[in-house]
Amino acid sequence: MVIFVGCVISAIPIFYFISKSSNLPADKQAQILPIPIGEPMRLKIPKINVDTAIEYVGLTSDGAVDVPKNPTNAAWFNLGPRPGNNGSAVITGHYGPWENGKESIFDNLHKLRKGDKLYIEDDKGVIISFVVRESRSYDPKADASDVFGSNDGKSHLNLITCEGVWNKDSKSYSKRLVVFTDKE
Amino acid sequence: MTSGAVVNGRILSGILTDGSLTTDGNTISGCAVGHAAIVPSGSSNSGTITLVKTVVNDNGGTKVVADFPLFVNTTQVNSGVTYTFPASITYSISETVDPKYTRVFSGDCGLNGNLNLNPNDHQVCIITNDDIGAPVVPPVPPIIAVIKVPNPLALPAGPGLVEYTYTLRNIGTVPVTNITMVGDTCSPIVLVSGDTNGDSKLDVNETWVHTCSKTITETHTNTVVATGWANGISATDIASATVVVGAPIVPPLIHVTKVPSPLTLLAGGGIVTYTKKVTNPGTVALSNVRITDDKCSFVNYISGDTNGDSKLDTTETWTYTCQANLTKTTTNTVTASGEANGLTARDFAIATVVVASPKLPNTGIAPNEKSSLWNIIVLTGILMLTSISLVIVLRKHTI
Repeated sequence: MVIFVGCVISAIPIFYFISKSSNLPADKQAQILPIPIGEPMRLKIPKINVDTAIEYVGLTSDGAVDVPKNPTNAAWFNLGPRPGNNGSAVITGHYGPWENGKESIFDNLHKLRKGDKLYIEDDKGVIISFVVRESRSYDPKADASDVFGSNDGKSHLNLITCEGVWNKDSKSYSKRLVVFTDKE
Repeated sequence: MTSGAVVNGRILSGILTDGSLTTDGNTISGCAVGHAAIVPSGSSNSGTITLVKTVVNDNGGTKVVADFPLFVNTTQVNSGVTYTFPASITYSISETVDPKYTRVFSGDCGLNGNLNLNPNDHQVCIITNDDIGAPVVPPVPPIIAVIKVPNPLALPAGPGLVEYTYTLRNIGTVPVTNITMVGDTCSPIVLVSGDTNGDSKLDVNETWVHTCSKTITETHTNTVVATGWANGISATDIASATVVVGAPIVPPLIHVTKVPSPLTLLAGGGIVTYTKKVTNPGTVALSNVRITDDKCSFVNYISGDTNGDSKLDTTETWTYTCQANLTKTTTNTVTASGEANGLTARDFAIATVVVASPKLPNTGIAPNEKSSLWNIIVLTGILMLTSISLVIVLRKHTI
């Protein structure tokens, strides 16, 4: 009993200090810093049944954003911002139906509509959600600077794949589909 | 030349489209002096307009200044040349559009190219054309700075000889070629010194000094536009100086430079810090010094007012910085102004930052290619399994 009372009495200054601290001006209190955005690990798009691992890619020798090695993976362009940081992060994925029933990861990207949601899980297990703003079709050689840059101070994630008609000579589809999303 | 404008100068390099002046980069000829342009007090119902063209070829474009004919309303004008127009009118600045280039107005022009000209105004409109698209590897843009100082600054006893000294510097990181200087009123502008290695390039840290002498008969603001090129990108700077005739008034001079850091950004862009330095190349201290930047909102004063009198003295250099988040190639214009003896001096500095952008990826895999690959994998697997089975069966039979 004596020990219990002693503990209670000794704890009083601690509680007093805590209560005083909480009344301090905001700049004197310990600040809760935002958790830094981690590196992206998984991409989840429930609307089109995508739940995939994310590879990291840079540029090809001709200056294009590289693509994932595995057609069932997505790839984050790691020369740009991380998904969740300010700016326009970019993730690419393959397009094209597989005869054995296996699909490329972004076969159904064109089905996304404004308001659809997608999620990035980073290496800390944090889930960052994005909402689709719009989709645009680009010529493969078009100026795509608006895909890779934004200056509104917000966080965006843009998904890129192919669409259109396959050209045997250029070994490329005729268009590029970009789905623009905004961090929620 | 269409009616309504009077050319106030001469061209050191370039061609006047009306054929009245035809020069090239190696020849200086002709001097068409028009009406007196700027006077200290309003005494005429006219003003002057100088259009200045900058071109950014950062994505393989090859256009030059002359490829974009310029117009004030319907009057065709030349880049860097000063023209007198009736005042109290809003003019529309335009050009022959090239669909492969973007166009941005800055300086005294509004975003849509409108320009208000009040009596005795000296308005400068800067038009920047950038070839559409972005480079994968950004080229380094050039930066130059020109100062013009008349001697004397005032002719109180009346008309007299004035010597203008033009100091041109390369404040960037790459040598600048094809230097042209378009000045008004004074001819010829003679290179006195500076090209130390004689390569006709304005090398980094070189300072080229030009001079020109002219008898001035009335108060006049003289403008020079210097242009150079590096890596397909033009660098331009403008300097103006007023000489007062018939009154003991010493006019102010001001000079501003702007250096971005970095000069190039990789794909996605980033933060650029612009450092602006303002100096007073005249003889009277400047008050009410103001700095504005069309693409960088918050310009912060850093240092320079050593005696704390809030005046830009002739020995002082005031430093300002501002930051901007750039996502695409951007040319911005800073305007500095200061006052003394009832007159206002202005100067402009123009700087370009090139932002790279990658090409869109080729994520497509042809259905046939995929099936062939899959067929190979499947066939190889079947063959291997068959071979292994055969080996096992044969071994069992052998045993």
